Amino acid sequence: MTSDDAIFDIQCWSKTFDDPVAFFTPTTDVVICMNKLSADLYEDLVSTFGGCGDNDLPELYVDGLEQEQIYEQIKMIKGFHDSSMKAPALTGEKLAAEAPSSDESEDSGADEEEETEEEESEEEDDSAEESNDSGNVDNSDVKKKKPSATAAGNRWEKSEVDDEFFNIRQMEKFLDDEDAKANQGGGGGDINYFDEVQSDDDDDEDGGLFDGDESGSDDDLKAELENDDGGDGDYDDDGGDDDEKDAKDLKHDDYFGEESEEEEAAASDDDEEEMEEEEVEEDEQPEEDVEVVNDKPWQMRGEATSEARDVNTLLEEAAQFDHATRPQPQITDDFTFNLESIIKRRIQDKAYDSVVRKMKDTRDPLAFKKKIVLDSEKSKLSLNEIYEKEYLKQANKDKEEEEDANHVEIRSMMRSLFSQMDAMSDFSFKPSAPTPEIKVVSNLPAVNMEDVQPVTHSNSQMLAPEEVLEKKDLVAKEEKTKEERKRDHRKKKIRQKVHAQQREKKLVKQAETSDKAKGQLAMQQLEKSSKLPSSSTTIIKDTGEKQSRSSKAFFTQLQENQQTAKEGKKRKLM
Amino acid sequence: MADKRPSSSNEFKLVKAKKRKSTTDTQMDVADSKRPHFPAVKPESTAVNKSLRKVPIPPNRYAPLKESWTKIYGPLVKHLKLRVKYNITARQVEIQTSPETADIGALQKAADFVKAFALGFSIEDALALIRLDELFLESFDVKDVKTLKGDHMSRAVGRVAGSGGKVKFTIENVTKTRIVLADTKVHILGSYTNIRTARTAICNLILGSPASKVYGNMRSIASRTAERF
Repeated sequence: MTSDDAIFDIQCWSKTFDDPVAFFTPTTDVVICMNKLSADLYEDLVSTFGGCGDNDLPELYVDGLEQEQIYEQIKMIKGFHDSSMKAPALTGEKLAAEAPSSDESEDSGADEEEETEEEESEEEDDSAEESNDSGNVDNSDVKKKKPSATAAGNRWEKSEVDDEFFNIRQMEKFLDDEDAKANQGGGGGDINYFDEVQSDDDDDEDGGLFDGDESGSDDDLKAELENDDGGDGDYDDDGGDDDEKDAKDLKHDDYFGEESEEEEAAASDDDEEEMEEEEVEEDEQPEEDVEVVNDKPWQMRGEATSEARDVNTLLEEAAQFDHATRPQPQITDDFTFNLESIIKRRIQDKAYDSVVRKMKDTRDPLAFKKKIVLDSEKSKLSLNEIYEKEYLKQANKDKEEEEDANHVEIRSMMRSLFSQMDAMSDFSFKPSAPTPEIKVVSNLPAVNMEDVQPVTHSNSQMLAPEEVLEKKDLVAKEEKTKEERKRDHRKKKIRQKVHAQQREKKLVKQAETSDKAKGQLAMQQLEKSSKLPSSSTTIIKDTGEKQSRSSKAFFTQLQENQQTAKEGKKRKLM
Repeated sequence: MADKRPSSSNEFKLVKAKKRKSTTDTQMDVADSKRPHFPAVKPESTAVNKSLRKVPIPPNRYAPLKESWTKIYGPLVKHLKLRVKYNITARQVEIQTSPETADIGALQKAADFVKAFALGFSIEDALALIRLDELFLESFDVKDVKTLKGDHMSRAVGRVAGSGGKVKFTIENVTKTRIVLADTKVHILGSYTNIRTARTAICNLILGSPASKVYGNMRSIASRTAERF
């Protein structure tokens, strides 16, 4: 392909390129232009490099192939992925091309063009020109210089974030080197880190790794370029001293605060300076830690009082101690869920734990006593039948109820079975609670029973004292019914009567001996007789008046008394 | 103290003891056996003496007697083996023993039975007299308890009866007796202790105690006597 054609293509491409929106969707015109351009470039490269290695294609096939497929063909070029190809010039050109070109990532061709801007700028100037001219036809000359200039002075070019100590370009370069090392594996072992840093040493001489102010002169740049070449050369020749690399890598890992002397020995003079710089970056490890055993920290020293340790260091420790109290239950969702499930189950089963009211057991032994029921209806049974029933009951009372034969059999079988089971368990079982035996005992005095048995054996003594003597509940006077009150009154009267009789007897007995008792007895008898309706005696109470009264007064008084007595009697009769 | 000697001789004479006239011909031989030997008694000898009882029937009991005549003479004739006859003109039930009558007391029982019916007791209640030995009849008047006149008397009788006969029935049930109230006369049928209990209850009622009080007393007494063994 002639360059004229290419330029023509580029020109047409530039037209379309003015409108970046065109790149959002793959339009056929642009695609065709780009493919053509790529094919031309490919041919140029092939011609210059003299072969693309194993998978070399004479030309780029773009007809009917998709972008990815075309890109794959391009990728097959040998050394396509070399990091050296991704020169700092690339980044610089990116910056330069930022203004004109907005979206270059869309087309694979565009990428390829940028990547193919090799550091062999001598040979690629044309291609670079072409690619650069794509963006800026006017600035081609500037661009020519710029890649080299920018490639050299990339590190020192100031950006927005740069300041005294930090240069973003330098950092990027460093990172790229690291990436390349990672990609290449051990291949980058021969990366003479220190060589590169040597260039930095020049910086150090100026005033530091990140000193971006001091932009190197052209001489420096050239020197750096040469160094870079050397570095590249080193890259190419690199076989990989893994051990050395590993050692150098380990250098950065200060696990024990030690710096092995081996490493130190391995480090060259150049290394020292580098190490110094690295020490600045890394945490300062005290160089006095040559001993393996340091002064023990307070955690290891047994009982450490507050003076032994620093302020608030105990708070950082997770100390273990015995808890005297029960740990509080952690209220988590799980906990509440379990609790609520239990509650729900209880409600469903209606198995509540409500307290049952305890009632005092007042089993009155008198309750078992046969109560006579007052039936105020004409009895259905005649006297004859009543006596008949009674007789039969009495006659059949002696012979016990004969149990059902089946029942007897069942009971005997069960007994044998249970005894066998007990033997099986070696008779280690809980004996059943004693069942109360119910025995009917008639509440009669022993005299009436006419038992042949001696009193000690009879059932009559089995009655409790309260069953023999009926004791009534304590009832207040107000709670008593009318009948109960009358009954109690009657009883009281009887009691009093008995007492009175006893007193009288006593008095009579005493009257035989003592005169006073005699007098009392006589008085009593008089009083009794006067109370009778038929008596004519009236007892005149000694009112205590003066005894010396006129006889007239006395007799009038007597007469009046008699008359009142008569009237009283009259009233009685009525 | 004159000596009464039939003979002039001074000899002692053995006085023979005169034996009593006995119907049996056989003689007891005391000296021979240890146990006395009693021969079997002839049935004729055990026969009860022929006797007759007459039980007058009051006019108010004529009709009931007619209705239940078979029930009356049935047990008497079948079980007691007596001869029963109703004298219409005399309005009397005549009961006579027969040769088949075995029981001496049967006649008395029958007479009591008819008498009870005549007093006013029902046949079934009166039948108990035949079957049980220890049942008796007792009758008394309200006047015997207390002299009451006019309204008091009727009130007393009313107290004994109770409204609808409740009190009377209660006494009957508790004391296992049968009571017949006929105007002012009270007849009680039952065993001795029960009659006594019922009598006291009725007397108390006549005398003026309220029924509840009488019940209380009656109950306490009856509970003591009720337990049989």
